[in-house]
Amino acid sequence: MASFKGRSMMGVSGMRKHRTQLMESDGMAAGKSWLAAKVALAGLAMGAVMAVSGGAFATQSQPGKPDFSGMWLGSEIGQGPATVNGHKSTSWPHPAPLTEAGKKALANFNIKTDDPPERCLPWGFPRDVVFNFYPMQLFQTKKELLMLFEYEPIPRRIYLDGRDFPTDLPPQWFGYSIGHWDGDTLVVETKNIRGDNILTTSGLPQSAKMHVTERFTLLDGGKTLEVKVKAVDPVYYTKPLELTVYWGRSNVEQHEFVCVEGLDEQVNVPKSAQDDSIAKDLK
Amino acid sequence: MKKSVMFLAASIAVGAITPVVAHHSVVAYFDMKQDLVLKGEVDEWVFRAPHAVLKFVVKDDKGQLQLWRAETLPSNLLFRKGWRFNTLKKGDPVTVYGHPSLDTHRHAMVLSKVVLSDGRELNPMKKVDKPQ
Repeated sequence: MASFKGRSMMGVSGMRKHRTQLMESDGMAAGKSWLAAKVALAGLAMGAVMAVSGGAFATQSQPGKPDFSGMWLGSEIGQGPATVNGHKSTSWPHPAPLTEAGKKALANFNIKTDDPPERCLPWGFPRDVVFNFYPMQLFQTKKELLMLFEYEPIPRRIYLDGRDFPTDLPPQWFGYSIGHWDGDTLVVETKNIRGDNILTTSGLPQSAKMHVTERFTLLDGGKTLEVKVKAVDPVYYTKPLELTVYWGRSNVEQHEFVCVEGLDEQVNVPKSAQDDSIAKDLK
Repeated sequence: MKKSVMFLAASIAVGAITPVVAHHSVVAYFDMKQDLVLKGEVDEWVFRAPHAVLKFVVKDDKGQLQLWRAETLPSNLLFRKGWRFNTLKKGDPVTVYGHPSLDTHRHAMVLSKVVLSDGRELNPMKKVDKPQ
């Protein structure tokens, strides 16, 4: 794992350099913008006060439409099926309606080499929306719904400004998501999904041609978030796959989850990185 | 190193499944059909992502010291269940329950529960009333 660590450190120093360059180009590092920065800070503080007095982000979402902003959590791990405020989440259909290509992909799946989170890469979409035992924070504006997953290094963005899908973007961990309103339900379409990721940790495949539709609806006076998910993937499945996930409003905090930091300690890394060196220390 | 560490027992039994639905699959790396119980002393409590790890030292039946690793949930999930970064301290006598690594040459296991010398039982899947 030594070479892996080395690459990580180079990455960090590279980021620092990039940030410094950005600051210099903005004039911040040169100290010219002290007054501008102070004014900006005052503006931020004012904005924060307004946000709190009006309910966080309430004034920024589309008027007359539900506001999904806030912290959400399903059931806690170890407490059985995810039932939230009396609503029970469902799973992908079992057995899955696999095509021949899907059966072959599942048969060839090796969790030790083919599951990106094993190497601390993202879980990605649509797996993220199914894991509701980690808190998920949503920020909603007129133009965007931003989703922060506690264990993911990157946020997911759902554009609400009427744009179309891009044609020149490589596949993304969360795909590319655009949303529109159907009454009080936010309908989100996602394409551009990574076909080298998997749908479930058990190895069900997903292709880059998968098209996912989610329907976000608030229930129980805003206490419950229902997400109905429908995935259509003609490469690997003969029929659309559907499930429903429920989240409850929560006051838990999200904390840091820096996966690569603890990777060397895990059982899935080469033994030489762990026990051999430690055994010497004990003698 | 104190001399109070001792090797307790490794027994075969049909163990309850302890799913670790985070980061990586349990069944790919651990033999969930075998129960393992080891008595030893805490060497280090690594409280972080993607899995917290309890490193502890046991003495085998030949008197040799062995360092073992017990993997459990990530610190984020444990924190909300009442565990803290200082719940386990170096030198604490512990009895560690779990399932061994499928790689039998590796002194590693997935944690089911840890019992402290004062009788407290900590199970990563159960919430405690107050932080430990």
